[in-house]
Amino acid sequence: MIRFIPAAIVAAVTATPILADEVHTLKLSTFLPPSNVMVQEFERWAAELDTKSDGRLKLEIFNSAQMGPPPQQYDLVRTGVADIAYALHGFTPGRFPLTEIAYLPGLFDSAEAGSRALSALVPEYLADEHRGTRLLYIVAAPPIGILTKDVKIGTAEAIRGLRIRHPGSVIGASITAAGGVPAAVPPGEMGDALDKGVIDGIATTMEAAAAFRFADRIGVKNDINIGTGTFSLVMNPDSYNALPDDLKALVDDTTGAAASVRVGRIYDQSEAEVWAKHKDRVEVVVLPEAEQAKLDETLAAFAETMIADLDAKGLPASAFYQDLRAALK
Amino acid sequence: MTVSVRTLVGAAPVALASLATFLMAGITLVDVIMRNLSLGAVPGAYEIARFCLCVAIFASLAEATRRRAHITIDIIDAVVPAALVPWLKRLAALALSGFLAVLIHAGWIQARDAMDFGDLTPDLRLPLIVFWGPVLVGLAAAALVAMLQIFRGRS
Repeated sequence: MIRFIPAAIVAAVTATPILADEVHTLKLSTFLPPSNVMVQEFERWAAELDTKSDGRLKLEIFNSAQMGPPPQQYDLVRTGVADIAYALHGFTPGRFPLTEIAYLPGLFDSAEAGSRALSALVPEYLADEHRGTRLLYIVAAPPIGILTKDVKIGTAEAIRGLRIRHPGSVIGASITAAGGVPAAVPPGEMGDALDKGVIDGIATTMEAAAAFRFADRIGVKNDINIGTGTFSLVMNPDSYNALPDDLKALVDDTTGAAASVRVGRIYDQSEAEVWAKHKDRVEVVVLPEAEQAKLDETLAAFAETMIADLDAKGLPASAFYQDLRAALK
Repeated sequence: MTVSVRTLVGAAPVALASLATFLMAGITLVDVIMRNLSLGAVPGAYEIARFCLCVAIFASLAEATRRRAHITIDIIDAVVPAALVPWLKRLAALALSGFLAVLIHAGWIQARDAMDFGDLTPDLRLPLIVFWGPVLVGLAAAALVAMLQIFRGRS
């Protein structure tokens, strides 16, 4: 009988079904600071999940890279350290080769349009790249320019020799193709690096500049669409499977393509709001038409080479690029 | 002959670490001069400097372990009987071996992932695995030296 008791306990524990009224708390990790619009969006999502599940599904948000540095965000979920993470694809160059095509210059006009187009291509192309995780949604940030303290890029040649911080190696390679020197400065150090003259400019949005608290130091916005950043909200598959069916459905209903488009719209709106606050003191530099055409030609040649290289590796890069452009129309 | 081989084995990684440190300082200096003279910047200077730093640290790790050059706080040595001190040093070498084994294991997983996922460096788009080579070799060499110290004591 005594021998039987431990076995019975083990059997009881392992056979316990997922309790319908059990409270499930998911750890969500992001490298973004609390002031960022996405952290506010996660707080809103947490409240929505809490309300719709009658308090049975909660999110515990770890922002500002508390759980791990920016390049580790995706792996935090893949290895089960975090349940959900918001990862910038550009921080892990080479890992998402098709998604990285979205970083090419001049592709998206807005975060909403980019997010919609990328979401449409998730089933056919992008879901497989997010292996080891469950992709909740994919988002494009607004198109980015080159923000500087006082450096004006008034000609295609003016970018030559400038050291520019970038949010992903494809944008870095575009900067190289244009004659600049890319520098992968961590997000939290962007403002300091600009102040100290370590870099001449930052390829990012005004919204990100405000979130990382260096928007006040920006004096010039060089309005070159040098590309965009893309993010994915990913979930650990085991964490998802551990939820009862109704909570799985709740996660599914509040994420996916519709959420992606909505988040893209939030990004656009936030960018417009931040720009409205700073536009009176930030000078906008636009390339003359002929110079823009010269730069576009250089960047288009780079894009062509990059896509051809990926095709040569056996990836459907050309097909993805064409479908992405078609989805944007 | 044995002495010269041992000397060479000890000296080669130190020379490599010194060279890496020199390269790191050199590329930083050239980059700063170029930027100050408005001649642009050295492409990938950050990444090259980081790689050199990585080589400098991990190439010298085994030799630093052999020389027992790690920072040591000898509070216990003065309190315990002198005969016990060599055994404490062996115990410290055992703990170091264990710690390095944990690091090798963690590093191996990261290196394997970098290889499997085809991870690249952000500026030069070099395979990230090139960083893991010196890290893992350096850790393994240091672990080997620490294990030998368990059995050989001070010698």
